[in-house]
Amino acid sequence: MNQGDYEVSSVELHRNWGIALAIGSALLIVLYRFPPKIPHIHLLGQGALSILVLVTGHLGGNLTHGEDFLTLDKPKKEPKQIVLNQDALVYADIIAPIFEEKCVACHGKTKQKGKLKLDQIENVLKGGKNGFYHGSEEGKMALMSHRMRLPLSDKQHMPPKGKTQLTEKEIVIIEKWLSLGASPKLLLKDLQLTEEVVSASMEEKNMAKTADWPLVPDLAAVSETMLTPLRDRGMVVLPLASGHPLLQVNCQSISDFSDKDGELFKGLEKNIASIRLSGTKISDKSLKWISGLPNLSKLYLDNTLITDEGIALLKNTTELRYLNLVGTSITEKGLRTLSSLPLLKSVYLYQSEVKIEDMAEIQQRMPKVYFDLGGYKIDTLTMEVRTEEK
Amino acid sequence: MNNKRLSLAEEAHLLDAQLATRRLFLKQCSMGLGALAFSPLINACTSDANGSSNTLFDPTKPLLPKTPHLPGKAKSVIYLHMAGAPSQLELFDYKPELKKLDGQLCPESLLKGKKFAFIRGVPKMLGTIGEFKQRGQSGAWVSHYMPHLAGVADELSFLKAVHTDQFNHAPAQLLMQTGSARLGRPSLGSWVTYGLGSENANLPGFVVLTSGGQNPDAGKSVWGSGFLPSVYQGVHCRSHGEPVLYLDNPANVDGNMRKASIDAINQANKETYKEFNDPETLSRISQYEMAFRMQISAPDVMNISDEPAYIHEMYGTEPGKESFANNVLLARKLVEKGVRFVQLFDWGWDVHGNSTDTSLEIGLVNKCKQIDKAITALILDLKQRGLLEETLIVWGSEFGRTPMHRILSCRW
Repeated sequence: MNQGDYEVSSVELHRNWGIALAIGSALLIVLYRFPPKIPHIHLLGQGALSILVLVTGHLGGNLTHGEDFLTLDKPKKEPKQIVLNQDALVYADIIAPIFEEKCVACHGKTKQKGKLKLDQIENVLKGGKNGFYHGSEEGKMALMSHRMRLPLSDKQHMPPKGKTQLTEKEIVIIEKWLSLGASPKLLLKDLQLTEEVVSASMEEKNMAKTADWPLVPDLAAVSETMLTPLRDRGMVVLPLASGHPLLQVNCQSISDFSDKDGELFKGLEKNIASIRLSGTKISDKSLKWISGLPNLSKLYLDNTLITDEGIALLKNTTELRYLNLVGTSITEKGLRTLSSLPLLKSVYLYQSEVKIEDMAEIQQRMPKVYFDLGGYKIDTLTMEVRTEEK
Repeated sequence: MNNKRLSLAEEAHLLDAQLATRRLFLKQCSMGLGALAFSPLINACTSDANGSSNTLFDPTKPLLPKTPHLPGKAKSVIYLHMAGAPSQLELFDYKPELKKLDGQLCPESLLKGKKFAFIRGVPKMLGTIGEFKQRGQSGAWVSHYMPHLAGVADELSFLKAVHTDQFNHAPAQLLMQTGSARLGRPSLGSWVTYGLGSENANLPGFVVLTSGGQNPDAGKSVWGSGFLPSVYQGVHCRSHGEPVLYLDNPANVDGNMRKASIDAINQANKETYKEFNDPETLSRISQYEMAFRMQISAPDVMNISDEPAYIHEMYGTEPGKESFANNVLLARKLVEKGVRFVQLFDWGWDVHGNSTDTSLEIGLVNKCKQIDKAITALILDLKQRGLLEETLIVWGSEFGRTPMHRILSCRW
């Protein structure tokens, strides 16, 4: 008998229980045909058969899904973070846990698809039925490196489509380790990983700063009924995306939108990420409720009556990234008050009262912010028109 | 069934027995269970993750803005299509090797297994005529044909990966705009307004402006709605005179009377809808209503003469004339008001002849002059208004030129 990729003992166990199930079924048929005079014997027979089916089925499940398949999903394992201590052992501290988490279910003790076992380092070096190396010995590229890098759609790609994939960082580390001879003694510093890989985990932390919108994992989405009063007033109110808790609001086409309409946003303060008040009749008073929007990321105040006093109220909207002040009477005084906004990226000041000579100092105060004063002029350039040469 | 008369009690007993049979259960429930299983599938199409209704097409409010699946960056699109295929090799696609091969016979490897328009036998290579320089901080190659645009090269990204199998203008335009070289598919703008709606309820969501004296070769299908409801087709605004015909009230009819007549027509349409249930009737009703709202908003938006002189100077516009520059300025105004998709077609880029107007040396220069400054102005004007961050400007055509002369005494 060919046990294929599975551990022999598991297969035999499954087979034996299967045979028992077959015999049990046959017995039950006989029982029905020639019923002995024992009360409830049918029920007993059925009960026994059910147990046989359960056990055989479970053993089969163990074979194909791994021994822990019943409990695997329940206490969801926290994905292990790769600790990038330069003196860490590459195999024992980093790669073995990755294999454990993402590979051994199919390439382990119980199941060896492609005859590959990744539970011990000796088995890793032995490789599967195609050996350790990919193709000719000249390139000396480990088959594993090749398989990891194949496109996901490729049948030979590992881990297979649908299973938990390796991250780019994990692939880079495994690849490097394999190419350096896959010794268990290699330390992380021996791999000489680029700064990029090492700092990848740092970057993830910085994501919040570079994201286009505030990260709000704990905020719940707003029900449609809460938005009805806003929509009835003529506002365009939409979540950033389907099911997203943050909202973008456009009041642009409401010609009589004024300061008192701010009340409509009560109860939605945390959800508003973008609000467009372009050309509405609001004044500095509105900046009071606007400054109470903790997740406000984009604010359009162009062509409104707001002044420096109103802008000064914005110093607490720390998520603000975009501020449109085109066509307002803002001066450099108002701009200075924006320096407390850590994420501010762009401020548009075309047709405002800000003077170009003040910008040098303001730019120095806020070096990361892009200020656009507009007023571009395009000199008409001439293009030489050549006559036919031939 | 037998003909024996049953007593009431027997009949009731038989009915009861039938209800208890396995046969009846399977017969009745196969449909019932199927429908039960199918209903979440239908719901999946109409509700989002919250279970709130997010029907893509509500015939009474077809242009209602809709929630995207993922947070998007762009809010509006301005699509500039140069009908007639400007030569990429003269404008943005720098090929120094081709310049060296100019005048030599085309290698077989380039021709083998391919079909070209106007090319038979073995043609000669035609080197680039443009004088290229790397521009801006990105070092993008832009030729001397576009001196103004070269100045804002850092605002541009170049997609040099588009391929077409259509070498006639009309089908190629259809392929570019609708994804199929044959008629009957919705255009890009239709899909976008169908999927996302438009933020301004008083203006059409998809506006088309044409210049260059002619409509694109493929006709109005390039902004058609195909199999989508007709409300999503592009609204083609005229380049001079009234932008949209018949928006003004006829003589001796005032706004109230117009409103009353539209209400009456809509009432009749609603009756028709009740009778026939054709969603096109609802589209028609909403279009009448929009037409009425447009009476107020459109003349204001579509009028560029109110713009200050320096804006006209920047774009190079000539109010009252049909010009690409005028349309570009209009496009900015429409996008500013929340129109989702504005598409411009400029005709006259088919420059592969020997006459003055259709040559690479003169014809192309003249066409570039008409658009170069206007597009640059559009980019800078949107930028200073803080709108470039959320407006996607696409410049393109149905195809470019082949790297060889065409055989027929003329160029490619």
